[in-house]
Amino acid sequence: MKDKIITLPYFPGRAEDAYNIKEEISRIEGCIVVVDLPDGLEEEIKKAVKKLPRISLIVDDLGRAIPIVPNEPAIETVRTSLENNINLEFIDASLSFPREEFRGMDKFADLVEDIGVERYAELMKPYKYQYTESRHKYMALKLRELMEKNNEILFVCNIKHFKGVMQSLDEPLDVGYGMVAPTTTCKVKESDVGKISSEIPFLTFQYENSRNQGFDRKDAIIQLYEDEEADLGLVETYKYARNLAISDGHVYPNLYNILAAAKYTQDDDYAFNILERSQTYPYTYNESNCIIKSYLNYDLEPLDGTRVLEIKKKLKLDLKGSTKKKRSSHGGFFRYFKRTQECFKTEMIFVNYLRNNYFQLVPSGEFEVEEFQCGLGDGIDVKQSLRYRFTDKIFVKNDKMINNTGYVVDFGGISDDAIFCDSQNDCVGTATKYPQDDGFCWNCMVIFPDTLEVEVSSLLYRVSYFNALESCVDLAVQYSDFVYVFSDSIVESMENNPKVKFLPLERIPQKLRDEMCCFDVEWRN
Amino acid sequence: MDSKKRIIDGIEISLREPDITHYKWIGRDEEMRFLLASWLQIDKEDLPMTPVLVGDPGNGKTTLACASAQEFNQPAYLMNCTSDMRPEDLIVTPVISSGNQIKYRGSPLVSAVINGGVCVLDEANRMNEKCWASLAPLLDDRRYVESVIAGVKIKAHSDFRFVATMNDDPSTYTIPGYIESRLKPVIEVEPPSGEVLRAIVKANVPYASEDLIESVIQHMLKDEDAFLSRSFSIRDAIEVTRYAVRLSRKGEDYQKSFEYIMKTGSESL
Repeated sequence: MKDKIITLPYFPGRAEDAYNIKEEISRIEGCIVVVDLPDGLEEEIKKAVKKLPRISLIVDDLGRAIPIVPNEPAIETVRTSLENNINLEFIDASLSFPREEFRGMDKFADLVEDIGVERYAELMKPYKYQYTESRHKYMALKLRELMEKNNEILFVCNIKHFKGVMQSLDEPLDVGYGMVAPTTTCKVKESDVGKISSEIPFLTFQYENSRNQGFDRKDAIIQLYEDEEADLGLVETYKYARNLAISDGHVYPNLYNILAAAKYTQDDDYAFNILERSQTYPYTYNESNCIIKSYLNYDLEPLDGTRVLEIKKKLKLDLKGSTKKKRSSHGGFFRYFKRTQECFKTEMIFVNYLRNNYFQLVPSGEFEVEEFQCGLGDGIDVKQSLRYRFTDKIFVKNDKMINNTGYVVDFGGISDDAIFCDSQNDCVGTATKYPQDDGFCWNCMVIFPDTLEVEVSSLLYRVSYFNALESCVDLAVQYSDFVYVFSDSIVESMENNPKVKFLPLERIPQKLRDEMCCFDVEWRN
Repeated sequence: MDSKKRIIDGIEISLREPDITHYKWIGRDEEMRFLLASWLQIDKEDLPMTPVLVGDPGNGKTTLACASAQEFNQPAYLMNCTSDMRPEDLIVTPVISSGNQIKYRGSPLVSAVINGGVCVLDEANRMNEKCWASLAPLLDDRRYVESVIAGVKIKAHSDFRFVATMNDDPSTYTIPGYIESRLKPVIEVEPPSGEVLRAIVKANVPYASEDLIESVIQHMLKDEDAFLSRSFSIRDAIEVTRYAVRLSRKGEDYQKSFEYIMKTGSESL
């Protein structure tokens, strides 16, 4: 009898299997198609399948749900059979759970909501074996009945149950009909598609679009990754996503691995864009008649497994959009103050800290000569080696490195009080007056490299009150080889400048910041 | 052939032994998976990636790299980078041996390239642009390094894998763009959760009592924000526990001393 059955096992949710099943069903003739969907829910499922590509979710009172999505092989089986007018039978049992354990619970869906889907799945574990075995027996019984009436059966079955059902066919069967729990068909909105399927909504969309031509997951993922900014690294990103999937024991990357690859080979912003794009599935309802929550599938497993990946989206300060006051070239616009000696000392400690801890060395174009130890440096210094030839020593040349780094420190706030400069430490910046006395607090300042060749006071006019950070970064870039910007904001126009590195202000020790931030003045004119 | 010496294009290069490391990576399995996945090679045409581990000092970047090498069943060759490093230090260094003969000594990187193994380029952002430039062909599909000093081109073994570690704090040098594009994926090594931190301290200071470990962890997690914002690192937790054990063995009130260490430690940070 078994030779009457042509089996088509599938992995749930896998679009490739859905496509293969579609091809197989379209090819066969004179066969009855049998699928492992719950017996008794034919009407509801067929009605929802006819509405595809619009997605629905059939939820029963036991907290189990069947997503009607195009890439689901069982659903594709129904869809293709309907399209080709092929006889179709649902043979899975809609079994109940042992109710004594959950006395008083009329709706298991409520229990799921109360205790969470993972805990619910955990509670069901002891009953799962019996539940699954009963389903296998029920499916086997239905298959036997169908075999007696038909010559050939195309059996589409979840790979998990395939073996169990086939084994049960050889055993004496004694199983009662399960009760069919009442169901609701929910319309699914675009934002909920990801919640009800383990497949990425964007890939579901791609499957739907290429349903008749064949689905290529690699192409679909690359399409998801395609972005103007990430073009160069796209191959690497896909390759890494594939490797992550393999290390996870999968053939194809899931959303988690796709996002992890995007995050680690590009950046968080790119990963965030991919996350947003991955949720795209335009063929959906605008409104839903249900609140889509977490549900179990008929194997009592959560519909979508979740893992957490932290993606930090950069918050950018849009300086381009802010009001920009034209800088005045009039000298009288600025006020001049002199800080106390103690404040100068604090400033010197602060500047020394920055210069000693944050620096970029660049070749000065000059060479230093030293005795050969273990490396040839930038070549042998023939002149010096000849001069000391009697000592048998060799002298080599090395690049002389200099530090030509500038710093912008943005303490925050907007000033309309003063712009200071300090020719001793070569810095200039804006400051706000204390409310009570004659002291001031820096808002944003630029510290130039000690190789600055122009008079620092001549740069006062280039600092803007309202766009202090942007003007300070502009100045620092002009007069330094490299600039460290300590700020909690980012100047968008400089973000990709290889000469500029943005660091959070907290990188400077609190004590130094506090001492540096505010200062007293001795006199003013 | 002696694995310590190799003759390449007629030039004898003496190689280093791999580092004997017995690192254990506790918790944070995903970070190890991210690293191991980047080293996978699924066919001959497919090339392994060249990842970077970034994160604050003391978060376990080097430990992760070495433990992953163990997991990958490859020896680890650790190479510490410095700001005054030269390309020849990174590849092949000429040294004067007895009889005023020049000998060529391969770096840990070259030893890994020749013998096969994982090269861990520690604190790689301290290297200057010249050093990075000499690594460029090794980090792309050419997979070789060239020693100007020895005049040889060294092809990488098929088992050669690479990982660089970098601090997120200011670097001495900026990584050139053409290298940055080769160093992918960039894997962040984040501070662990309290539970994982407890397990790490326990594994690293097995002779410390449960009470003492708990007291260190509680102290560090008292202000979890401070811990997560990197005021303390895993290394701090281990070192503080070790010191506290010493103090308690001397009969001193470790709780009191411990408070002192933590206070001065956090101030200095």
